[in-house]
Amino acid sequence: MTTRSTGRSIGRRVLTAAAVLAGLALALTLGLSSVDAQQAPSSSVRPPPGASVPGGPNVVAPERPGNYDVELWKKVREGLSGQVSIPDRKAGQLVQSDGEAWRNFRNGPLPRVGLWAMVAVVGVLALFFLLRGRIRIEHGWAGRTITRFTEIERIGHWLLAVSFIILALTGLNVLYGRYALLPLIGADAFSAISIAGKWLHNYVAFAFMVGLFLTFVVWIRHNFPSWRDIVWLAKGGGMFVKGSHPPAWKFNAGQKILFWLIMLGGLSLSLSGLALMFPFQTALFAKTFAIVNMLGFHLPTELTPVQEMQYATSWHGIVALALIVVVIGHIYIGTLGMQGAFSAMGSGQVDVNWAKEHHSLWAEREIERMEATATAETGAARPAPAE
Amino acid sequence: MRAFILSLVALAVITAASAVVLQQMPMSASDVFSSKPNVRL
Repeated sequence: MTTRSTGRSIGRRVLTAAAVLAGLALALTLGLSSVDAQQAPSSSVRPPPGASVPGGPNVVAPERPGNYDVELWKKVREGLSGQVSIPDRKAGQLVQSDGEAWRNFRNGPLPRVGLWAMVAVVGVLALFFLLRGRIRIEHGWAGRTITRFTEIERIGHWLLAVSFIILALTGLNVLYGRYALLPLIGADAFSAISIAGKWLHNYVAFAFMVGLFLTFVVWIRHNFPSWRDIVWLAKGGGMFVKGSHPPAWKFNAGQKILFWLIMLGGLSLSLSGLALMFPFQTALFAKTFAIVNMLGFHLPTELTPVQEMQYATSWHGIVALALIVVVIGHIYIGTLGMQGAFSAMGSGQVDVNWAKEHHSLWAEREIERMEATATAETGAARPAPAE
Repeated sequence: MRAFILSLVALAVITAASAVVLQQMPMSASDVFSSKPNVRL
């Protein structure tokens, strides 16, 4: 009877998971076709004179009469730079063709792959939740708690988290707002929201940087790799098998990976964001490429100010989307995915059984420390025996 | 909860301070490359 009902329950879960995935795939396909459909007519590339349009009707561009210098204008169209006597050296380039490649990337693969990644991570988490369910405290609530995070750790975390969510929403509006929001609320409202969002994005960025610095300072010492991380990773963190709890200190290998992704990604976002905030004043990518080339790469190190801006916007978008995907997973496991996890950042306290199951090495040390402190306090409070 | 509220206060203060400071600084291409009236182009 129990076996049959368990089998039926698993079958129902698998069917629900399949239905969820099918729905996500359909939504993704519809969403992406909508993005493509809106981008199609926006290309501004014109064929050179005499060339036929690839993939289109066999139309030949008319030849120019007279002494029209085809070669010169071809070079100009390809980004030829001349010399100017004004301070704005970029004015020496009449047509900056890299802009077309940047624009195609900005309106094509970047939002498309980003949308795929975000929908995919939500789908994988939904599937995981349906198959594995919520990870519960196996030994039940102990009723006693220990301090997991101090107040300064939680302030740093929430400063980083809230600022990241504001930056993510305002940034996603820049990338997807014209497809997702504009048709819903109209041009006037979308314009007002986007202008406000742009300023908010610029200003909140500094709170994000402060939060990033604060969390780096308070958590760096707990996030250096150790051999136990290999064991933890080899056992999948005990996430897939009930009763499996690989030992971990304050942060397990998954949390350490998250920490370094947030720190390095956040630093990269901050630097590229500052380059965008103060345009044409930095050579961030030329200098970075020069360093990367020491490893044997052959990236361009002579970049015009406009190219610097193009690399900055593309890189800022790529890293932001990657971090959003990572943070969606983090939010899931810290709230819905694991019983007893949220209180670590809520009140700062966690149940002793939760701590013993998920961070056993850290919990043992903390419990020993608490008991030693309690013993010392009891001893100090007890009156000294009479001589 | 107290930590969360304090983080929101910190967020508001830093954001407001950033807004005040950034409005005094050149933050657009037109600010950086504005043509001076005494320069003949």
